[in-house]
Amino acid sequence: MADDRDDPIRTALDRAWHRAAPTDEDLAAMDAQFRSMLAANASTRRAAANARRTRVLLAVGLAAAAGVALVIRRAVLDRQAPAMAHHTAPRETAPAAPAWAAQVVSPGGRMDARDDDGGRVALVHEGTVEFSGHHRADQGYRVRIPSLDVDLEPLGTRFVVEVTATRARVTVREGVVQATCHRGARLSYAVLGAGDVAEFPARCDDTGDAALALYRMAQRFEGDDRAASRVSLVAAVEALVARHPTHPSAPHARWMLGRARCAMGDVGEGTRALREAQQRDAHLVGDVEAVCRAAAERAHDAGR
Amino acid sequence: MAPRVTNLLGTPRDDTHYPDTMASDESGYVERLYRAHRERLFRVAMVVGVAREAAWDVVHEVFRDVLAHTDRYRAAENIEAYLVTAAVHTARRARVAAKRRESRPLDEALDAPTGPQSGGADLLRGLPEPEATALLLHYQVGLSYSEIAAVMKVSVRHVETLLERGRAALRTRLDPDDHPREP
Repeated sequence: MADDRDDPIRTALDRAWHRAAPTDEDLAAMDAQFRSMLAANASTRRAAANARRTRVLLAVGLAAAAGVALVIRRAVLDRQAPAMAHHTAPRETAPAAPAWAAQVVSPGGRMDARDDDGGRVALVHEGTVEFSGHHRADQGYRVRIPSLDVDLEPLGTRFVVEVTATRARVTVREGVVQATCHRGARLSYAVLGAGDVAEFPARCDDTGDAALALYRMAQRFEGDDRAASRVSLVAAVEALVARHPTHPSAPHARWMLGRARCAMGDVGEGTRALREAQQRDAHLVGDVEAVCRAAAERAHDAGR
Repeated sequence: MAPRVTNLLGTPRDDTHYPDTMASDESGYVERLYRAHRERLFRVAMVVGVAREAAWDVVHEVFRDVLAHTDRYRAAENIEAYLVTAAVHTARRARVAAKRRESRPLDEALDAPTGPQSGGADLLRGLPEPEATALLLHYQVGLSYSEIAAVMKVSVRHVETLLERGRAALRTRLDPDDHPREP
């Protein structure tokens, strides 16, 4: 019988199926992604409904205004004709949208050329822009890629953006770069560490959502031996949470932040962040002291 | 009795508490599908041979498609088979995209240094998509040849061919010594 002959196949597939079972960590990551997706979907629908309503009101308002303007104009022209000579100025064509794929925003405004001694950096058509350590996000520097709706914010770091007409590739040389994508109503993030290379727009619309980025960042944190990098990562999470305290992923991010603090030996801050996370999301359950202890022990076991 | 599900920390809890954003009927439908099939789709992605974090993304992509085209999924005769087919397709596409990328992808760069990776789960890695789909639908979903033919929109004869090719490839992998190459 065919099935008897196929038994080794079935057994091998069953074994592989068993080995492919998701861990709690996998489920947590997938749940976080799923919840963010649902929240973003609901938000997009609300925004679309509001936009529809606004468009209708605007159309009605404009039609009314145009009607009134037409009546007034006719009245004026009737009074002034026939002495008035009409002249119609040729309408100027609006300048085409700039073709650049990335722009650097500085505290003093948009810069148009690269200059290594601070401030003036590149407005890029196609080519490369390099951010060095003195261009800091806390001073207002960031790189925007308008056509992709991407913002790149350095946290005391060096990174390179190479842009073509359709893509931007970001290489992080030091520290951490936070990439924010604005896709309609959806905000998504990716946090890139030293040595990472990320391409946009590919990263923008697949896995860049905040929960996942933070989750991966926490994993990276736990495996990263460089103290400076760890501090930068925690700073990145804190900045993200502070900027978007009501984002659906913020409690989860706080939770990760708490674990990270505990692993760094900062038990007080760590447990405080864990408790805050619990207060904001009833799904985050568990004894915070035990979670903190486990994170610290894990870091200690890893020799850090 | 309400189904028991797992929360972010793996603690069982009641499905009715999750999540607040589930207001509409459509979202409720997608939520139920997700709860019922997330683990299966994760396994499909792993067996097809993507990395752990890419498997999360495969599940995410499939359910994003479900959310965008809910009517299409509601109309599917066998939703499990439909989702498995979508997951194989998405996983294969993810693998191809990863290969094409010249630079090191972010996923790899951010991989956790510890924890289980594929661990021998990727039995169907490198198998053509139709063969992998047919094998999974037959052995894991338990469909007959004619049911697979209906899902894949091919003839029963073609399903037999796909399964035979898939089995032959797996036999070679399982016991390469029994299948020496032709001189």
